[in-house]
Amino acid sequence: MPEPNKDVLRRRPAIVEQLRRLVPDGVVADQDALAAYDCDALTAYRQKPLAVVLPRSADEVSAVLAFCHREQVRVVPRGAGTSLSGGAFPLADGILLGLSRMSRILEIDLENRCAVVEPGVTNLAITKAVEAQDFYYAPDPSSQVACSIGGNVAENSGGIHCLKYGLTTNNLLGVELALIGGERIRLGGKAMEAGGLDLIGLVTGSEGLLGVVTEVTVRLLPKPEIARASLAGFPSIEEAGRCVSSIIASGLIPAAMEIMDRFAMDAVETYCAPGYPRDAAAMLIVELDGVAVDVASALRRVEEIARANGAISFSTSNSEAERARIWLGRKAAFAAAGRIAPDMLCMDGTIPRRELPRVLSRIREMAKHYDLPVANVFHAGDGNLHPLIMFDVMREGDLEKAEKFGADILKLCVEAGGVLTGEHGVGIEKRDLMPLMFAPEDLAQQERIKCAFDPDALLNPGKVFPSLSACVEGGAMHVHKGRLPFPNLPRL
Amino acid sequence: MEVFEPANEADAAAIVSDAAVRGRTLAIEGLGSKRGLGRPMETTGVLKLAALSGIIVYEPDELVITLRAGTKLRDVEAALAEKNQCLAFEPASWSFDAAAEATIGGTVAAGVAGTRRVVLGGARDHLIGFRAINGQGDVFKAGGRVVKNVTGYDLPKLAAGSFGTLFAMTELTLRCYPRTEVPTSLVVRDLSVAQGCALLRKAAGSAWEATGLCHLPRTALDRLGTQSDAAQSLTVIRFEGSAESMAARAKGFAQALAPDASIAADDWSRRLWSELAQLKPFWNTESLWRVSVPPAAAARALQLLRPECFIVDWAGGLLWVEYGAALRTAEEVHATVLDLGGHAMLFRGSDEMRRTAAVFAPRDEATMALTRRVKQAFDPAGVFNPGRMYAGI
Repeated sequence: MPEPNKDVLRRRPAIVEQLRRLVPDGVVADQDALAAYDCDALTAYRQKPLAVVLPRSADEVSAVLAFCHREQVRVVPRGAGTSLSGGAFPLADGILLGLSRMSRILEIDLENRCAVVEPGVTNLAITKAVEAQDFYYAPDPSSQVACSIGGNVAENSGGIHCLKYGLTTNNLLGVELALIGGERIRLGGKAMEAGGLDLIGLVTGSEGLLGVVTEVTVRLLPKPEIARASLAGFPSIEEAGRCVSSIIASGLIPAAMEIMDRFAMDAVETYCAPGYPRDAAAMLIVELDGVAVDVASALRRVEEIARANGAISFSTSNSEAERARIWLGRKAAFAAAGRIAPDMLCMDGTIPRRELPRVLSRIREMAKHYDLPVANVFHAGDGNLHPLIMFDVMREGDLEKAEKFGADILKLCVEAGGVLTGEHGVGIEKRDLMPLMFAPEDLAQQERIKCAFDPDALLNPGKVFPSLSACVEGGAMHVHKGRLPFPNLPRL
Repeated sequence: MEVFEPANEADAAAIVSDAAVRGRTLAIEGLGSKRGLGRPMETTGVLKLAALSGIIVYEPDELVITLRAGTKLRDVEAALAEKNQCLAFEPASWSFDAAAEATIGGTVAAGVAGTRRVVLGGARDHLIGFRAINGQGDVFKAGGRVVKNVTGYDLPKLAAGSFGTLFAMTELTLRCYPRTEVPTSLVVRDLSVAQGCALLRKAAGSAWEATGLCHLPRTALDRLGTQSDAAQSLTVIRFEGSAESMAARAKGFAQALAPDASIAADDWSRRLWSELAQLKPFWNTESLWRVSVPPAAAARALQLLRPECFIVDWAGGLLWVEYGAALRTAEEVHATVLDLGGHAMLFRGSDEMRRTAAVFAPRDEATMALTRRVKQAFDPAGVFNPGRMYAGI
């Protein structure tokens, strides 16, 4: 992380006092209370922030940002703190700007098929607010009960149904963004296209480095007539992976395709007894939604394809209760795996689907090499892997080993033509692996965008990019082929 | 004016780098089909990227294609059709010149999107990676070859609809989509604009998965090759999918929402959607606006804008608005549409009109300042397409 600014640390009492004036009942500065904010869902790293500020309005957010900009205090935005990549990891010399109290649904506009909400509204609350009218908000990250829509925008969160419905970025219409100077801009609105440069697209997934989301307009979708899930058991995970490719190749776009390996299936059987096939080495859930006739005929094709790919069992839901039962174990998989080992690292690489069999068997070999168990539970339709590496942080060297194993998996994903992260974000977790995927010119170009929004690097510094680059007047420093101009001059 | 026609990416990068050093400006072009789109530019040179063409990798099983920016849109579509796939955002050539063909680079840079955008998204939603030359002549890449990817800033979103003002794309990776059989269209006659738009919104909010939601007044129908007897208007709803489900969907939809609807003949339906995609009603138009509004504001927008001819698409989200002569000033159109929560773009107009009027909707000062800084982050010397979107950017 960037070296804490000693001057800011020294000025802490004055900064806290000023913040209390800006947000009278929303500043946490007591050391014991700050402990509750010392990490997000990447719990291996902990750091208490300088102070926590919990604004109730966009105006308060603006005031806090303007103050921090003037006083050169770093800012880490935080929604519900569910990031798995350390996106909201605090800084010793930075305030943690928590948006959780801005949790009002401002407007539900079904005529325009959208909802306008504050950033602290949870993902699931949006669907809950419109489900009686047969609408829903499509992105469904597994943390949807807790995670906030502002955080979803910052991380471009995905979920189980991305294959058909896209990520957060494909389901947004408008965003109000507070810039580091405190001014707020409105990008898009209720129209389908925003006009001008697609700054919403740029801001979505920028991991809090470009601005703070103060309002979101999401696209709502009509609930499909029906959703049905099927469950197929396979003698090997490779065959399950091949089946996924065949289904896509046949021209079907299922709403979701999820694979679990034997290890994960055993874990959930102990945890919640979903009754998954006992003799299979891997299982595949394929969910289809849409018009009932289409879904029925697609399911028949899925069965044919599964059998042709070696499926040893196949069942299909014929009621909502049966569908829920098929999903029960999948949805409990992370929690169940958490029961098996004291600690767990959840990786998040995406690979081309055809590489699934090869990459999965390679991961199994690596697990032997590192002597750490790994459970595979993942969004197979997107090629988005979530290997869960089990370890024990109390055991000497285990954390380092698990992290090295994780990095090897991500290297493998990139080599296979994939990417470091499909939905969890880069954060601090994968920051130092960015050069695996991007050349220095690629990263330099991205960092110049950071400079366009936040030239003093006050917003969430230390995340996403391996080095902090300095911005220069009139654009940014030009880094050519990784060579800095005047390499001997010190840069901050 | 100098015309550069590099044979490959490295040559193109060298030309840009040289231009940046010498303070020159370049208009980025493929085959020139969109020369009339955006504000007129006066540049010292033209960077023609048509020679950077061809499919690099097409993996139908992965639903992904990587190709060079100068590849003709027609060739892309033909290659995809061979594997029974298509580009889901339904791009059309949007050509102003029958002789000039659209390239994939220009199509994405202009943010072209057809009728299906209402459900399946636009160019921005289907471009998942690219390579480009920035304004200093450095080649960089962004995104990847997989759909689910949050590694680094999502620059593909920014590339789509940037009209070449930020960088020159050399390679694009796009999602492909399974192609469906013949579309089935349900037609309701003689609805007023407000009634037609209301029905389209209901359809878009229903579970019947319509992929085309248009309302066509008599003036637009007269300019189409499809016969439509004496109807005052047609409200048309398209379904795409397997033949088996078409009947069920059309019947279900009609029962629930539009008892007066009739199913159009396949030939008629195919021709209608193809002509609409090509904007046939507006081929001889001098002044055409592309207006994006919240769907529920469509009828109100048309009432205020009072166009000579129009088409409602995207269930009201998109209006093509024509004025025979300059009946409305650009300021009036922009102000009216902004007031309704949308934005307008002068899609076709004389050079003079596009030079003097705001082609793209004016933005507030803070957004413009940010737009300028983003431009500088890619193109600090202002080499690419100066002023194409906004004066001075």
